[in-house]
Amino acid sequence: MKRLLATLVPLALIVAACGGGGGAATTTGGKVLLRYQLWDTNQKPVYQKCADKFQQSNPNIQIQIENKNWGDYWSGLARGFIAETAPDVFTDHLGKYPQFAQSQVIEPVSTRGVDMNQYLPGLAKLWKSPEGKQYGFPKDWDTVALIVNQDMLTKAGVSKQQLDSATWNPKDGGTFQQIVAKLSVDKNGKRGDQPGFDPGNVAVYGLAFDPNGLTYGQTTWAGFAASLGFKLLDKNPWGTHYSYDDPRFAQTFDWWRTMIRKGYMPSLEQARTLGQTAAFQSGKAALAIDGDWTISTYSQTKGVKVGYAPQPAGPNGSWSMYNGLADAIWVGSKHKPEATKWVNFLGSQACQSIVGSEAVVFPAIKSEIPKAVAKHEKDGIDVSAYTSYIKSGNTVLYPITDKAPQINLIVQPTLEEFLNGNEDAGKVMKKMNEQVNNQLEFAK
Amino acid sequence: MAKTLSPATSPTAELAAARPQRVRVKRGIPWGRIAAWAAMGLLLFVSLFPFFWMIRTALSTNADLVTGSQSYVPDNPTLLNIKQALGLASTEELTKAGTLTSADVNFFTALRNSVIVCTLITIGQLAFCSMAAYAFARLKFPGRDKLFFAFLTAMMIPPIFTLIPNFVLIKNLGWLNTFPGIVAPFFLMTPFAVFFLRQFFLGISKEVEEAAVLDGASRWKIFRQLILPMSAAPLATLGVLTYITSWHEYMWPLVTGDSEHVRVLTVALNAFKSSTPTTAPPWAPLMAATLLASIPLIVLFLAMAKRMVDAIGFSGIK
Repeated sequence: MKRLLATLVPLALIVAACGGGGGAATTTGGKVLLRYQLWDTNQKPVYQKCADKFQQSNPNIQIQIENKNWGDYWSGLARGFIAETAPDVFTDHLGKYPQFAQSQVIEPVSTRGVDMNQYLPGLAKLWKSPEGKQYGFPKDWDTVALIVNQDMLTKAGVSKQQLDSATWNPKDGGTFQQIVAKLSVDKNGKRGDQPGFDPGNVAVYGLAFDPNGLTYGQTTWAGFAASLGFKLLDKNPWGTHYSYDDPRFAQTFDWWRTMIRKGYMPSLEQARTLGQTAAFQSGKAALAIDGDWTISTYSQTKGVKVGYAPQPAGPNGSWSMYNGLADAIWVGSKHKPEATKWVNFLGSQACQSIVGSEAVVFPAIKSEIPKAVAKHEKDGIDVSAYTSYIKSGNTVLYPITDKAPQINLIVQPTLEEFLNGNEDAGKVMKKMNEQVNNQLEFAK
Repeated sequence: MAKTLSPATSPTAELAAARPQRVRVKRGIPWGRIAAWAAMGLLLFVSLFPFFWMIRTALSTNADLVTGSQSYVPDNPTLLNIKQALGLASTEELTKAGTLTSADVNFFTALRNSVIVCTLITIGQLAFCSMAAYAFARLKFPGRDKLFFAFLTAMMIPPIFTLIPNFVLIKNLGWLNTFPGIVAPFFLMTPFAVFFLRQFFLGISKEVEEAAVLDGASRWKIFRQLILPMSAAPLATLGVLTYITSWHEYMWPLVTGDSEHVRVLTVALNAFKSSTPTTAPPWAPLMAATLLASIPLIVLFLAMAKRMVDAIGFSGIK
């Protein structure tokens, strides 16, 4: 027992000693240490450059950039808010900020002295709450386009021009469906438009997709449905009524399910295990639908010539969802004045010019966009597919309403079940829409 | 032999049936043995194959997981994933392999933290649970059995129910992101450990203790000089079980200790979650890190398994 006591006593001392050690120092060498969190590794070097520039003019502040995986980002933030260990400033998402604003875990920013007209039209108002508080300055924007395996396209006998000008409708899928069919190849080498094509034994899918985020369908149905004139919300931002029961939405999703059944697109399960990027990069899919923030990832695909094409044109033209990010300040930050300074800098021309020249994403300030386009051109990447929507104005903004997390819990599983099952689209969507609108009603 | 027959058969029929059966068993092929071995082989396969596949995945390139041949040997064996898990791979290499993640796993820090946490929990539980179990097994005090029943009931509470109250308590104590905070809910006792040891202590013959009492030994002396040495085997077993359970603990260390200086291995593996909204997790390095994280446990088990057997043989119980 003496030995046991001999172990226990120092142990208790260690435990006691550890108790006092909580809370990391926030200043180093008399400087204010500002923790800034983001999720995209590709963007870290870009914002490191911004931080370097910021520190030159603010020698008393040191920015510490922390990377966190998307898969752990939002739950990590939630834990940080409660445990009071959240970063001072973090990259925020339109789908998440309404709840943060409502729970008062992020600070509104002051627009005084900031030229809100320098940003692309529409981006800034997405960050404004119904009470008129601004919760961030747009720092980038994104649209969605088709990622094309050019070699496969050529092999299928389709020209890039044909794909660029492809048409789509939910009934027979238009020329777009024909192209996707041609691009699909089964294990026996039969193409999707040839008789005897085996949908249960596909080697290359015509079109890959990302099964996450079906609720707003940013990289799936949003562009397709919008090209039919579909609008999900009565007004955006801060809509009060969802229209998942619109027949145009049901038709779009019905078409989606048909494409899976025909073997032109992977099943939900396959899409999830591989991930869209991996499927495309490993030659298991000829086309992918993804946002401009992934250009650098796709363009690096080994041994494949990668191109980009606008989403197929429906009756109303080629459409895309239009979204952007901003930076938010945590209310628990001990250095709010410094955090405000940093956030203002991130949304300013000085930083956006760096974002533009690095061209990982497109900067939100109009004047800086050509820099990004030029950088991509220099690298041999034609990004006009992504910018085309801005020129044509065929964009739908990311839907913003109250209760987004709760609504996601209804819509995502219902749509997944629909894709896996045989239920009638009209019925499923109508029922789902009632549930969704009930959520909003109870929010009041 | 007769016991195995149904009670409905008459005694004579029993005898008649039993005799030829015995002969048959002796001469025939040992089917029972074969079946047992086959079942064991199958169980071994079922439990070891996933482990093998983890090793196989850890040694493959991430791209091969999708495009490769799915044969038992990796198409292009590589140690890059192991290097990445240990933090030895360069950003360029990882970008090329397509497994660059947003977060670092900091393997060795996490390993150190896991060892600290598991050791503290194991020592604490062995010390306190053995005392509690002895009290429940031997000491007489009013309400003892009711108290013990309450303990047993606590085994039925799913840990998720106590997560939030525990979190609030630890937060108010200011112990978030400290080792005491991560260890606290497990340090003093778990109902299972008390139950496990109490059952064992009940089985120790009272005469040994009575002899010690006659020699003038106190309760405390009996406990530490008689009971504990005699219980080396169950204590070792419990120790290993506790260590393994705490090594696998995920939810609690995640919510209370997600800072780098206290982050344990299970939580650190989050570094291999999908890094952007539309990418899949990098499976190959994830499996490499998981493999490395399980090695200490395998070593511990191999080392202790032999001791547990020895301890049972030495103590002469059973």
